[in-house]
Amino acid sequence: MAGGIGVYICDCGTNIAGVVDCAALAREAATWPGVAVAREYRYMCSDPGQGLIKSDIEELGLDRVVVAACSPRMHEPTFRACLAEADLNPYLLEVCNIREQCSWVHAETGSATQKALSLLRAAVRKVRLNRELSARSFPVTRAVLVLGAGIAGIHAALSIAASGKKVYLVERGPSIGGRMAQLDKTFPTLDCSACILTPKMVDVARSPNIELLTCTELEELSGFNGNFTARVRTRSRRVDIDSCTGCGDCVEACVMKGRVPDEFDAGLSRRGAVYMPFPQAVPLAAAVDPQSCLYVTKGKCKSPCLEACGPEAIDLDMPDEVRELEVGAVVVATGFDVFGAAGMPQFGYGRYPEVMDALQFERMLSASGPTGGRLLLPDGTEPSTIAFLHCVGSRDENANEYCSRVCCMYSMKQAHLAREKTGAKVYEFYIDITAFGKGYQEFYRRVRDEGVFFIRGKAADVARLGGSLKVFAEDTLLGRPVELPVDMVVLATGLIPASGSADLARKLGIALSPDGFFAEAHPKLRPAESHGDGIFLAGCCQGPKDIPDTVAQAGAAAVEAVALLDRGTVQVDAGVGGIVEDLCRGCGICVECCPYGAVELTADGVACVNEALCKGCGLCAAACLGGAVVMEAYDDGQILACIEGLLE
Amino acid sequence: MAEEKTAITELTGEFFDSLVAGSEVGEKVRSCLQCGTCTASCPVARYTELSPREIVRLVLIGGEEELLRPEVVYYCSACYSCAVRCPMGVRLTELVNLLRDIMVDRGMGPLEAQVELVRSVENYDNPWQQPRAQRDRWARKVPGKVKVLPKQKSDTLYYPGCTAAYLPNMQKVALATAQVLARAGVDFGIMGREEICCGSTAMRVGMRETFEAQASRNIEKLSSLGVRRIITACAGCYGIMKHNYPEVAPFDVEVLHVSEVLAGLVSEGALELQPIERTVTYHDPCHLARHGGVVDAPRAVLEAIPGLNLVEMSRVGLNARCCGGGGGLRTGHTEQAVAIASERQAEASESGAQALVTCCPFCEMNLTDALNQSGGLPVIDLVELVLESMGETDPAAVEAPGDTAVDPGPGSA
Ligand SMILES: Cc1cc2nc3c(=O)[nH]c(=O)nc-3n(C[C@H](O)[C@H](O)[C@H](O)COP(=O)(O)OP(=O)(O)OC[C@H]3O[C@@H](n4cnc5c(N)ncnc54)[C@H](O)[C@@H]3O)c2cc1C
Repeated sequence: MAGGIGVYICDCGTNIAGVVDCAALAREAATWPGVAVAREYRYMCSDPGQGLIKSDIEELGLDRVVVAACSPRMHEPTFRACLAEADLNPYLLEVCNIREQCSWVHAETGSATQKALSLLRAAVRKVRLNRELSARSFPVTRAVLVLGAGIAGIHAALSIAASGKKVYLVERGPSIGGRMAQLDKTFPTLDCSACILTPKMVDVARSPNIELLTCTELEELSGFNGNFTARVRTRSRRVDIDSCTGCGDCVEACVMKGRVPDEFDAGLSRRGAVYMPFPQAVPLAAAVDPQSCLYVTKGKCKSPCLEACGPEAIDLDMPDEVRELEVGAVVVATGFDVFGAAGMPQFGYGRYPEVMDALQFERMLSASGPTGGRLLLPDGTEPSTIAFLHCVGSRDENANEYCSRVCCMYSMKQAHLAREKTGAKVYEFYIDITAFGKGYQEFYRRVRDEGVFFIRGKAADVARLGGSLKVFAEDTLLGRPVELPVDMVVLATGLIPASGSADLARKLGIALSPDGFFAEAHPKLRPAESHGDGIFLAGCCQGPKDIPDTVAQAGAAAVEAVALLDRGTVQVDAGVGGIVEDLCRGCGICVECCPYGAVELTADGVACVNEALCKGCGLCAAACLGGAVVMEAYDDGQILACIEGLLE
Repeated sequence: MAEEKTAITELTGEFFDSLVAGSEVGEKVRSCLQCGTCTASCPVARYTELSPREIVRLVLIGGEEELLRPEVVYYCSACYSCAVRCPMGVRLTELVNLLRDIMVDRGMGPLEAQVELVRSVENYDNPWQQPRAQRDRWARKVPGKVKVLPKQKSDTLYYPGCTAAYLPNMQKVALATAQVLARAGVDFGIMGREEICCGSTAMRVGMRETFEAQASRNIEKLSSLGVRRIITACAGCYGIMKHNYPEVAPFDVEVLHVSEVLAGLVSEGALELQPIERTVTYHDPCHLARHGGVVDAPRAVLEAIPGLNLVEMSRVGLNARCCGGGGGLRTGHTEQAVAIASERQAEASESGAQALVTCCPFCEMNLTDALNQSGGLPVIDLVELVLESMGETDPAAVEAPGDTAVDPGPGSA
C-alpha cells in the first residue's frame, strides 16, 4: 500500500454545492501530486461520509486526509475522531473551510470555485507537512463554582450536589432566591412563587455538598477547563451568619430604620441600614448595608443594633474575606436586571406616582409586599382602571431591539390578578402577544375571556391632562386614536443583562452576544455552554426567559458540568507552542502578549509554555523576535506551504 | 348602505423600491410593525384622512395613488414626534417630506397658500412678500450700533431670519436678541439687507430645488463673510441650518440657538439678571428640541433668572406636544394648526403658570392665535424675558419706525 493523501469534498446538501462546483474540485484535486484519491460526497459528516474516509484509509493506505467542508469549529473534532477510528493519527487531518469562507459569502459559481480551489491547494500542501501529535490529558477537580443564586443557580447547584459533587454557590446579594423570590404568582399556572421556590432554597441551605457564599463575587478566574482557581471576595456582611437567629431586633433598633429604599420591594418600602433581605431569606440572617450605615460611612453612630442583638452576631468592623476555590467547572447564572423605565420619560415613570414598573407591581401583588398584597394608589384607594403598557424597553431601537419574552405573559398574569383583587377594569396595550410556551395560548385566551380589554397599539405616552392620568395610543385595528383616563399604569419593563455582566465576561474570558447577555456556544445545539471550555450558562444571564426555560437550561448546564467532572480527565488539544530554548533570549514579549497567561519565564530566564493553558493561537510565535517559538501544528514551514498553495 | 369595499388584489413594492428604498429615509421603513406609536404621537393625526401608520403601510404595499394626494401629505407639522419615538427607527417626518418632494416633482404640490410663500422666497428672499431693502429696519431700533458685515468685522453672525426681521409683531424677538447679546458682551454682526431666507419654507413643503438654491447661496455668503458662528433665535432656521445645510454643501459654521449662547453665559456667570417674580412654563419648539436636540439650555437660562418660577407641563423636552405651527400646516390648514395650539395652551394653563415662554417665532404666533381664539396664557419669547431681567423695557413697546403695517396673516412654514 502506497500511502498518499485523501481529499474529500462535502456538498453540504446545497449549502456548498449550490455555489461551488464540488465535482470540479474533486476532479482537479485528483490530479495533484501526492493525492491518492479525491471524492465528492453529499454530507461528509454523515455516517456513510465518514465511512468513505475510513475505508479509504484502510484500503488505500492513506496517510493524510483533507476534508473541504464547513468551518473546522464545527466538524474538525468529528473528522479527527474518524481518523483515529481508522488508526490514523488525528492530527494528520486538515479541514478546509469552503462553506462559511466561500459558498456562504459568494454568489457566483465560477469565481467561488476558483477560490475554493485555492483554499484546497493550501490545505493539501499543508497536510503534507503535518506531524503526528497527541493530545495531553489532565485530571479534573471534582467541584463546581456556580455564580448567582436565582432559580437558575439554585437549580443547577442542587442538581450537581445531588450527583455527589461539591458546589460553591456564590451569590452577590445577602440572600439566595433572585428575582423569582420577588414574584407573587407565576404564569401560566398561577402557583405561588414563594411556595415553589422556598423549599428549594431550604434544600440549598441543607445540602452537605453545597457551600453557600452570599455577599460574594468573583474577582479572578485562572487555570483552565477542569482545573480552575477562582478567587472570590466576600464583602463584609457585618453580621455573623452562624450566630444570627434572624430575630430582627437589630432591624428595629437601627437609627436609619425606614430611611433607605428597599431593593427587594423595588423601592416601594423603606428599610434601615441593618435589615433582613426578606422573610424567607436564606441564609436567614440580617445584613448591614455599608452605604447607609452611619458607623461605616461617618465613623460615628451609637450603634443601638449592637445592644439589641442578643447573640452578639453583629461586628461592624468585620473585614472582607478573600478565598481561592479550586473547581473543575463553572456555571454562570447571574440573571438579569429590569429595564430602567426612567430611560423612556414619555411614560411618566418617576414623574407620576401612579406609574410603576412591572416588578413594583409584582411586589404590590405579593402578600409579603409593602401593601400586604393590596393594590393601592398613592392616596390609599384602590384603582378602578389599570393600563398595562407592553414592550417598554424591548423591541425598541431607542432601548433594546430584542423581545424580552416574558413581559406579555407576566402582564396578562398581572392583569388577571389585578382583576381578581380589585375588579378593576384592565387594559393591555400591545403590539403582538408573545405567548409561545406550553399552556400560554390557553392562558392568553383565559385572560381575554375574563374580560381584560386588549388594545392593539403601542402606547405612545402617558400624561396628566385635564386632571386625570391618560394613556395615549392608537387602536390600530380600528384606526382610531385612544386617550384613556386610567388610575394606574404598569410598564411592562423588559429584561436587560445583570449589571456587571461585561466585567464578569472579561474575568471569565467568555463572550457576550450583541444584546449584552452571555453568548452560548451554539444557538441551537450548545445552548448551555459558553465559548469557554468548562464554563456553562444557565437562566436569564444568557438571554431573557421564563422560569420553565430557566430551570431547563440550569439542568442542562448542571449535566454538562457533572459530565465533565465524571470524565475525570480533560484532553487538551495538541497544537500548542513550544520554545526552542537555545534561541530564546528571555525578553518576555511572549509572556506579555499571551491572552491566556500560558507563557512564563523560568528561573533560567527562558520562556516556558504551560501546555494546559495554551490554546495554540500563535500570538507568541508571531511576536517572538528570535523565532524561538514553534507552533507544533502551524510552524513556519506549514504556513509558507499554505501561502504557496494559495498563490499557485 | 355603505360603499362596497375594494379588495386588495395585489401587493407591490414598486413604489417603495423605486422612490423610497434608495434614500437614507427608506432605510428602516420595512421594519415597521404597525404599532401605531407614530399616529398616537402625531398632533395632526385626528384631522387627516390617512394616519402616519397608514401612510407607511401604503408606502410599503404600493398604494401610490392613494398616497400622493395633497390631503394626505400636506398635513404633517414636521414635529418629529413620530420619528423620535418610532421603536423601529423609521424616519417618518423625513419620509413625509420625501413624499412632498415627489408631489412637487409631479406638479401635484404644494398647496396654493404654500406656493405663494415659496414664490416670495424665490423673488424677494423672504416668504412675507417684503422688499429686501426693509430687512434690516428692525435694527435701527436697537439702542447703540449693530455691526453690519462685511463693512464691520466679526466672526459671529446674528441671523434673525425672515419672521423676526419682517413681521412687526415678531420684530421684538430680533430687537431683544440683539440687545441681550450686546449687553452680554457678545461680539457679533448682522448681514443687514444681504441676509436671505434660510430656505426652510421651501424645504418643508417639498420644494427641494428652491431650498437647495437658497441654502447654497447662504452657505456661499457666509463663507465669503468669514463667519465662523451663527446665532439664531428662530428654531426653524436653527434646525435647517444645523442639520440640512451640511447635506447641501460643505458647511463648516457652528450653528447656535441663542438659548445655547445664553446658557453658556449663565454658566460662566457672565449675565447680570434682575429678579422677575413670575411663574412661567416653557414650551419646547419641535425644531429646537426634537430636530435640534436643545432641551436643557433654555431651561438653564430660565432657572438663572432670580425669582422666576419654572413649572413644567405634562409633556416636555423630546416628548413635548407640538403647537401645530410647523411644516407648512399653519399656512395650509390654519384652522387645524390653531386647534392644535389650543390643546397645547390648555396644557400650559394646567401647569399653573402665568405665562408661556418659548423660543420660536412660529410657536409664538400660533400659540398666540390660540390664546386669542380659545384662551390660555400670554406667550413670551425667552430673549424678551432675559432682556426684561436685564432691566430693559419691553422692546415691543418701542414703536416701529415708519413701518407700513405688514399683515403676516396666518402664514408661516
Ligand atoms: C415582573 C416580572 C414577572 C415575572 N413573572 C414570571 C412568571 O410569572 N413566570 C415565569 O415563568 N417567569 C416570570 N418572570 C421571569 C423570571 O423572573 C425569570 O425567568 C427568573 O427569575 C430567571 O432566573 P435567573 O436565576 O436566571 O435570574 P435571577 O432571578 O435574576 O437571579 C440571578 C441571581 O444572580 C445574582 N447575581 C447577579 N450578578 C452576580 C454576580 N456577578 N455574582 C454573583 N451573583 C450575581 C443576583 O443577585 C440574583 O440573585 C418574571 C419576570 C419579571 C421581571
